[in-house]
Amino acid sequence: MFNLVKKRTYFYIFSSALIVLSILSIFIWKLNFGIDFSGGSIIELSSSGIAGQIEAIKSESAGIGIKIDSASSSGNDKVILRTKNLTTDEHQKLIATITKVNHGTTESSYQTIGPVVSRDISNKAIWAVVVASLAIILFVAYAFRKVPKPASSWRFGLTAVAALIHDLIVTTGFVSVVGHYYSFMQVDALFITALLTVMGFSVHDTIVVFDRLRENMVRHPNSDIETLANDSILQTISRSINTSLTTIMVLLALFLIGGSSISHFVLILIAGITFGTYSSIFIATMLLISWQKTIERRKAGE
Amino acid sequence: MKRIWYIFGTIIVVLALAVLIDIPKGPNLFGKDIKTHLGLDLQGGTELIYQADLSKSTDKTKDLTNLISIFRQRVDRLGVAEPTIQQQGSDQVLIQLPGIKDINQAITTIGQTYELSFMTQAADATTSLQLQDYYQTDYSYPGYWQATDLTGKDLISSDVTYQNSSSGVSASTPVVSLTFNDAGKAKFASMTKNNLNKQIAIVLDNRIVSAPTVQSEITDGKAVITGQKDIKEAKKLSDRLNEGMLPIPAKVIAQQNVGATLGADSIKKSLTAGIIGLILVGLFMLIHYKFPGLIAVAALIIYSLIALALFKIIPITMTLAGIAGFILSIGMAVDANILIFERTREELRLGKDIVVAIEEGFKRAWNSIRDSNFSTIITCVILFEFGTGLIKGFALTLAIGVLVSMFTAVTVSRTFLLLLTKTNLRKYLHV
Repeated sequence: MFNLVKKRTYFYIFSSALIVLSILSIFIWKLNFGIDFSGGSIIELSSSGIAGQIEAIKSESAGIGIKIDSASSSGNDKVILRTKNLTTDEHQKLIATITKVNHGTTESSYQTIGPVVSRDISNKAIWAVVVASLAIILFVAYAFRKVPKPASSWRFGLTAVAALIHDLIVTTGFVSVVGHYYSFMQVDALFITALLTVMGFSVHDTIVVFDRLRENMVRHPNSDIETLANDSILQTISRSINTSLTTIMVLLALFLIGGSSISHFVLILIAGITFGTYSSIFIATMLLISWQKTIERRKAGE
Repeated sequence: MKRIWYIFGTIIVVLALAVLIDIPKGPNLFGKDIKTHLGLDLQGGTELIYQADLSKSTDKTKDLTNLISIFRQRVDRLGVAEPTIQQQGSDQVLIQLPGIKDINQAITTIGQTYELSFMTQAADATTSLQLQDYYQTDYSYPGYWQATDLTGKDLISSDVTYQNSSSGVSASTPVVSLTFNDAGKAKFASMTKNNLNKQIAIVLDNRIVSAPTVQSEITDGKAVITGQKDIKEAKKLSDRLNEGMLPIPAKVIAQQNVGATLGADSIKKSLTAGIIGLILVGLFMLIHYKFPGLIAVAALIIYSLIALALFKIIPITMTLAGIAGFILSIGMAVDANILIFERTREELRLGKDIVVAIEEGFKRAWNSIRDSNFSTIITCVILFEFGTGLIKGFALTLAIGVLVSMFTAVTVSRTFLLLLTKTNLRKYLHV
């Protein structure tokens, strides 16, 4: 029988390395903020051969005083431009100018977000993550209120959230790394949605393991908690992996075939769910046991 | 045993209802046409967010309500099929115009400065113009009209009151009263004096709301407009006058425009992805859990049909994020089945009879299913509370998906498995 719990130091080292690398990437490579958070305009143009005219579009736009901050193309016939927050007049002028460069240009989508809205979205996003974390601590503490002594339901809640914060940091780090190489990976409202969904999933997985641990603690009150935790992990690991596999299967289909406008969102979910499953198995329960052991040792020392 | 057949019957009825609703050109249930509502990102259209400048406003709630009412009338004039106009926060208005491609025309029509003015009749076109009716956009008023210096800014209030009809009949008729401020009082007095027995036009957005005839010179700044058909018409006129009193400036702070082709493309792609995802999950379940896996697949299909029917009835506006939420919930719906099968497998290993093992498997898995799904629902509630339109759609579809999947896992899978233990297929049920 494997004893994963005994080897928990390795998982701690692995996760600490992931967290350090993620934080480094976030500070060095930064995050690609979308217009949801930074404000600005995004124009998606389609016309045959327009991808080859990006430079011409840039210089013509500069001629009327509108700077194209970034331009990316997808295929031969699609270009996405990003500028500062445009007024209605500026937008009209810009389209007229681009039409001069490429006569067949049609604007397939346009989005502009002013500073008021982007500030509002940022504030709400931060609040959502904070409130969700608190709600999850409370919920797990409540759900495990009947856990037998000497364990405490609060420790269940707090370690579940510790695993969750691990997932959030590592997922954000992933977004930063991918965003450094590919411009489609943006931090926008969908990024926050993905993070919160990952939180939900991660807790979902953690609860399944914790629930098994609670059951085993009731059944075998005299066993060592370390052994019980290891049993619980082994008993639930095939379920955890199977569930994540099926979820990732549908997400992968969505990533490969679904439209490009949500592909970053789907990719964040795939990464986040993978990290979430890992942390539920190898971090949440391990932390709970380490904490419990520390308390026991301190008591024995007294 | 009898109970199981009842549950089985219920499942079949619910399923039949769901299929009826899911059919694209479904029947007219509950007296209303049920159809899928598509968000702007899928059907194409324009979204605008206006910020109202309420700094000079004394009654912010009332002024914002007036502004929204003004927006609604202008949007109606654009001829949009199903527009959404709603308050957002304390001073913003969200406008969604499905199908509108020309964003600039929409902004010009909706965002023009709102001004109420009073015009008088003129002899010819030299200093005046012809005007159309405010509500009936194709009706032109006879004659020419010229601007005066009396505007909505000179008004203090307008109300609907009752006046005893002059013919002595006891029934009273609704009239619209106007009260002018001091500056307005003088302007109105000279206007009524100079236009005795002539029409005065009340003009909004360069369209005539009402054109009453002056019956006497009014010097006290208090007028009534008679001739209203009923209380509703009087209320409508009074509302327009109130809206015109203090025009609230509003500016566009965010806009989005999606072409219809892009939306149609997105629907096709994500639907294909959803179906392929469902097939992959089905294959996985069949290979991993054999015959019981087939039941999980059946439960999954029933789950999808019920969830889609709910999206249609509620109705939920489907956006790209909403579809992603639904596809994600397919992955989660399997989870309950996996939990149950894994548990049943353990019970079987202990040498228990298949019926006992299934019952035990369900009982033991239930705590995990309930608690873990509940945590996802908490996240959905928070997303819904804090999110913008796009995120709200995702949260809602995911939450409904999770709830329905809990229902299908514990009723559909369980009932089917238990019924099959009574048949010859029993021997294939060992997970």
